[in-house]
Amino acid sequence: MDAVIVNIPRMAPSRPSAGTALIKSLLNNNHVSNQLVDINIDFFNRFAVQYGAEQFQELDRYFYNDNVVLSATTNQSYQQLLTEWIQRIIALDPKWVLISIFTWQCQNFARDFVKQLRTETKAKIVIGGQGMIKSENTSFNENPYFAKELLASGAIDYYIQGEAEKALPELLRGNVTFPGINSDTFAERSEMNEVPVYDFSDHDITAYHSGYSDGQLPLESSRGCVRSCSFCDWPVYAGGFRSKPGDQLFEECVGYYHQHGTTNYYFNDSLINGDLKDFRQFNRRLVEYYEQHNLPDRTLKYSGMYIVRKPNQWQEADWALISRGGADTLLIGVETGSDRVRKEMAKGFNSADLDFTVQMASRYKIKLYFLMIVGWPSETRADFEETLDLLRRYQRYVADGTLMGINFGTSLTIGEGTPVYLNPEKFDLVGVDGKRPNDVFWMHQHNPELTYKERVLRRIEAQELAISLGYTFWKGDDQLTFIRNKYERILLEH
Amino acid sequence: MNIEIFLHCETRLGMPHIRCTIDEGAPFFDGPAQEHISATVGVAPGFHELVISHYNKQDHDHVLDNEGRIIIDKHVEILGIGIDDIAFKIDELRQAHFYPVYNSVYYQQQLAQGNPLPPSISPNLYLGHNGIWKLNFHTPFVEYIIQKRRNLAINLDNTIFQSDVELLKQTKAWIQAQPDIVWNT
Repeated sequence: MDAVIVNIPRMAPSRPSAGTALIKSLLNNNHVSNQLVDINIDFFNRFAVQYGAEQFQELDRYFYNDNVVLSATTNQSYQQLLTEWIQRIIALDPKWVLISIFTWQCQNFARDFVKQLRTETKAKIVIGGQGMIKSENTSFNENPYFAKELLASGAIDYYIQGEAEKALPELLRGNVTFPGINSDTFAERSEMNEVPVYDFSDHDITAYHSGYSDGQLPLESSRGCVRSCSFCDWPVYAGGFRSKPGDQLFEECVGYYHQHGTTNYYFNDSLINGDLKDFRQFNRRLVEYYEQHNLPDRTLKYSGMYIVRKPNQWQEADWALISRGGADTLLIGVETGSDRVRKEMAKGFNSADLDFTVQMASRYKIKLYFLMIVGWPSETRADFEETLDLLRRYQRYVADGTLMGINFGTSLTIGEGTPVYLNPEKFDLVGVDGKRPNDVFWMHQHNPELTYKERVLRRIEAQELAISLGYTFWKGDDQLTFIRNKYERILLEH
Repeated sequence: MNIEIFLHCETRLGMPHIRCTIDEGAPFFDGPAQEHISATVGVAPGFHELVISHYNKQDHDHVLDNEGRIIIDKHVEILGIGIDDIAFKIDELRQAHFYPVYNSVYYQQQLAQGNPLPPSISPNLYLGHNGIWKLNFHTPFVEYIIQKRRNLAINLDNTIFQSDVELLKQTKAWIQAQPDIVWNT
């Protein structure tokens, strides 16, 4: 075996990982024999059964919190899990072990895993992915310090910073000086028509907790973003916006349907409607396909991140088209109910645009999931009240099933590479202890009421109201546990 | 409260007649049925009944074929009902009951054949006999329907996505009890 590709916890077990399916495809195309092992889904599906829910929850908390010390019993079970998987990998006798660090929530496992793996194999250990830095809301960083920590300790041999399509084949050929390999430089980016079709043949698609009996597969329609929201690092680190042609995307999606029988898809990219022409074409082709094959509308369903467009850009006929095509759930970064705050965030839409979007989604039976941010630096109590009003105003869309979920995050954290991090003076921000404003360590010069405690309390208040109004609130426990642990840690340190 | 009713009306033998009321109130619609009925009705918070009465159907308001099967039947069929722009799901409408006023000859015939007719039919959205169809609901309607549909929503309990109310209370109480963090800015 030339290479083993590894999915590690903790990633939400909703669907197979696109990243490792893409790596598998790249390896196939480069005639590198390979196999994917999926420790993440094994953790979610087997660990709780084998060791009990309490141990599972304790270990799960350990994965995404810094200050959790495992009990002796859970630690013993965890070591068994690690050893068992390492033995399985060793048995494949790979020359390369390629590990996907999908988010910062994979870091605690990754650290433990590679430390032990290193002692048992001479295979080259490579990591890549967005979790090579430690920041809750940031995707990439010019300084991938988690990767550097592992490299310095000798636990890994290489890391790839950025996209793998060009860098990984070069690394496998021994070109270790290629940009993106063990460097702060990002790997050369690919155009979307160069991205290979994913290979899910090693994934157990229905083992994931997608809620669909035939599972759900990831898709990618674009990279980068057409917008530059002030709190987001994506435009900086993901490169310029590149869209996959609508025809190519359609062929890929229908190809997975033919190969795996999967009818549900999720777009991993930051937006599915960055290029409206491609998005329309993808949906037109789907509708034509249904008509040609005598299939009902929405035979294939897709969900993904969606940016709110002006009604003159995306009209009612477009909503009707995507409804027929299979638009199922659109995740929207609504962020706030305040137009003033939203403008400062450079979101590119206002409440009237959002109202139109929600009305259209309701009319065409498309579900929405709102992503919110509490505690924007200049957010006043009055701004926050507008967010609460938005929740009340849209309650009827909860009732009719349009608004299927809401997620309030952990209050605003300033990630490196975001406009608000790079230009703090523009946002009237001051940092803590003489440092640049980052993470939660900042204050707005003209908004002294918004202390860290106030941000957290507003975040909690938003959850209270949303739940009382009947919203399906997602990830509250994760986020509250994280908030409390963080508050506790900061109290100790200050 | 705004209410909309969507009906299919069989009119080949003349217009079926219906009367629509909330509880015992004055009808918000009464007369030859229409495919779309819309009204604004004042209601107090609490339990209510939407009542659609089918009346004035006569013995001769259906046509039989040679084998005695009904081929045209004056009736209305409920296709949809919405309150405050929120449509009832078809399964919710099917929970309502229809209380027919049977033709007495037909009733006796059925009884004699060992088929006693039920006092009410549910699920039933086809109002062929005269009679009253009743749908229960509560106001405020939005809160009522959210509660009613709660078990249809995605259940996140015991998943990593869950949001437990007890944890929310505990976290709030804990944070409130903590001092504010004073940054050195």
